[in-house]
Amino acid sequence: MAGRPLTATNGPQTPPHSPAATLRPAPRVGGGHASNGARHWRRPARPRATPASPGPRWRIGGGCRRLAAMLGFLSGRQAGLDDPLRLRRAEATRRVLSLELNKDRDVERIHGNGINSLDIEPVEGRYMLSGGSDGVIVLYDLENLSRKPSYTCKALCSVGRSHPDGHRFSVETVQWYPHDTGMFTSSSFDKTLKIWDTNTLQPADVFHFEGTVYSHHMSSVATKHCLVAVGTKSPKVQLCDLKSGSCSHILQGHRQEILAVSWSPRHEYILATASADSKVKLWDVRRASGCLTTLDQHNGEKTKASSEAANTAHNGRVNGLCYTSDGLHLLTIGTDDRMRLWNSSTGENTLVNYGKVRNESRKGLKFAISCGCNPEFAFVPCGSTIAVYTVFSGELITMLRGHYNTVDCCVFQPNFQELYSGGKDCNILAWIPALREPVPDDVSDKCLPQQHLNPAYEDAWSSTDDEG
Amino acid sequence: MVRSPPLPPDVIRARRKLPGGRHGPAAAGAGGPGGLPGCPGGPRGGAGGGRGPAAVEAALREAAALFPRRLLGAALPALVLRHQLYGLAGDRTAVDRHLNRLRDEGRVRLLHLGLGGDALGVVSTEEYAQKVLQAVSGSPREGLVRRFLEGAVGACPLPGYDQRLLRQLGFGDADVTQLVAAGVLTVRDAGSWWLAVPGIGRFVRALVRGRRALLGAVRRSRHRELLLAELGQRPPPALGLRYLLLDLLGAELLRSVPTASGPLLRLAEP
Repeated sequence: MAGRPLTATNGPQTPPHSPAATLRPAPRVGGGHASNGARHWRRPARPRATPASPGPRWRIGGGCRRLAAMLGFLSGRQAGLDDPLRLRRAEATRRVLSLELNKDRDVERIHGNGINSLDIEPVEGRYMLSGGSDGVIVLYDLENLSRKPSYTCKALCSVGRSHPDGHRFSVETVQWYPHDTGMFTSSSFDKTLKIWDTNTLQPADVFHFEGTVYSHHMSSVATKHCLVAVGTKSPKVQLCDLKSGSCSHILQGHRQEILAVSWSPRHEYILATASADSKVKLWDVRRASGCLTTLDQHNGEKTKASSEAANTAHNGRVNGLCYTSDGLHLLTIGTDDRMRLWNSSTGENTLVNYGKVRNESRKGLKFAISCGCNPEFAFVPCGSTIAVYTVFSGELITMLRGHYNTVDCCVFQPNFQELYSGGKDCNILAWIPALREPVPDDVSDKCLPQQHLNPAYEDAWSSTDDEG
Repeated sequence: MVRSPPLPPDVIRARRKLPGGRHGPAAAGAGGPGGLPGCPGGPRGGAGGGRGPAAVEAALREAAALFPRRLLGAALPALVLRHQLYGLAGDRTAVDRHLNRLRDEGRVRLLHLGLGGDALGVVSTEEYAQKVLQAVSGSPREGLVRRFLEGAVGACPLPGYDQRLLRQLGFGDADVTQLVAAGVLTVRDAGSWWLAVPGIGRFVRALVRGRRALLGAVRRSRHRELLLAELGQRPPPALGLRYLLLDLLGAELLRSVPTASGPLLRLAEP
């Protein structure tokens, strides 16, 4: 049932991706190759001119010391003293900490209305889907093959309003088929879940529900099942089987609409659902008898809560759910302006305090957690900014400002440590790690910028005058 | 020649500090302007750079010292609000965890004060017991209160009690009525009560009035922001300016932005 994945014959010509090329090559340091950095490193001659940064003169000292630390990691890796992942994690963390808007990277603007959902395919991290409030689904190519630093991510194709089988109302969630890019799923307020064939852009199957669909998710580690968990306005979580084409079972337990669902990235049968009745439930879909646990924010201290509020994860609607990449912890966010971190195997509230996380969204909030960094970061849309928190200590690192209106969704690209976010201002913004400027060489004159002289001041002397 | 600010311990993680910092007035009150101009942010917390339990203990002592004993007389124990410690000690999670540990050891009590869901007051257990007994000394309820303090308060570290638990500990309905009349318990729900301090009403009223006055002053200013120095020129509120500012900043009703003329207080977005 899965169509052909997007291959080199379908998309633009691409060189085959080697597994080793998951990181961009490190920028050149002092004119030498990164692997020989210890030998060729020279002290940078000029400070970086970054007028937007708070203290430009502070950066000289910091930059030199950061380079020295980086080269320490590289030589340790080379000599076998350090674990190979340590360098990768350190560099990924440094890149995430320097996320900013970049004038060289843009995403083509297709949507005419707000963007509700973004998803990047997990196979290569190259193609991105976006679903908008106008019912339009757009597919973007994030890869920069133009050999120029300035690049706009092009929209390859879209399922628009004029498509006969397109969604009629707002698309709430889009997701790639986790195993290849031949298929994707989208769910919408028109009470349907559609399974699309990417190459022909025709729906291969449609599931109809009684209530509007708020969220759906398909497990990325599942090998024994092809279930899509769908959260709708009804309190029952529906599981749709792609192999048979029907809703195979229903999970009962919630009392109000289901706003977010997420499969665990660690166990293929564990599902977490979040509902407007303030409860988050963990299910094993093989069990017939009900949920595994209901997450309790007070960890069982009954007298702390009033009697009606027993076993609630938040004091308001629970809007968003996200597992960390190893599946050991679960982050939930609620309209009581709190974010909570849970141990996903015991259901215990780890009591990490993130402070007030402003959440005014009436429907689901899609936030992202980084992958492959040493303190993991959570990127949470807060109004028109994106707040970046460290997941395990609750510290607010920075607020990414750039959107003109409320941000609804964001997604993290783990290979290049980039963040893409979309919101009601119809823009998708790409947050790129700030690049180090190439360090100019002391000795050679070729790196110095050639000054453009006014021709009136140019020296018009020529040796032929003497002879002529 | 510009002296570069101290680098964080892990050099490769040179963090970009928040432009609108989360500094409490402790950084300003500790002397000097709120950071060098252009400097992204000074060291966190006025209680020293450490982030562990030592910092939380120091913050507790500092905040307890700010509690206005002179105004509220000797009737109340030194009450610190939990969110005031966030501003002083810097790391919210560390403060929460340390307070939970102290509560489980029995050295402090966390009390609900009626200010809203998350606002908990922190008192040291001995001082709480001493002040409660002082408040009921001479009245016929003294014996009952003493029994309650030794039995229930010592046994159970939670801020609330329900009917079943109290019955288990040996306090019937008539006893509970007497305790509520003495001010040691406050009604929360039918059949459940919060632990309370007798005479806390004056403190809560002064706190609410002070909050309203400060927030009103900031709201009425032209751009809804005020320099700390300007606030200092107004008549000081009853509970003390620093106590109230720590409370408002910790509860995230106000935000403090370091500027060249000292910290600027801005209303947090609603």
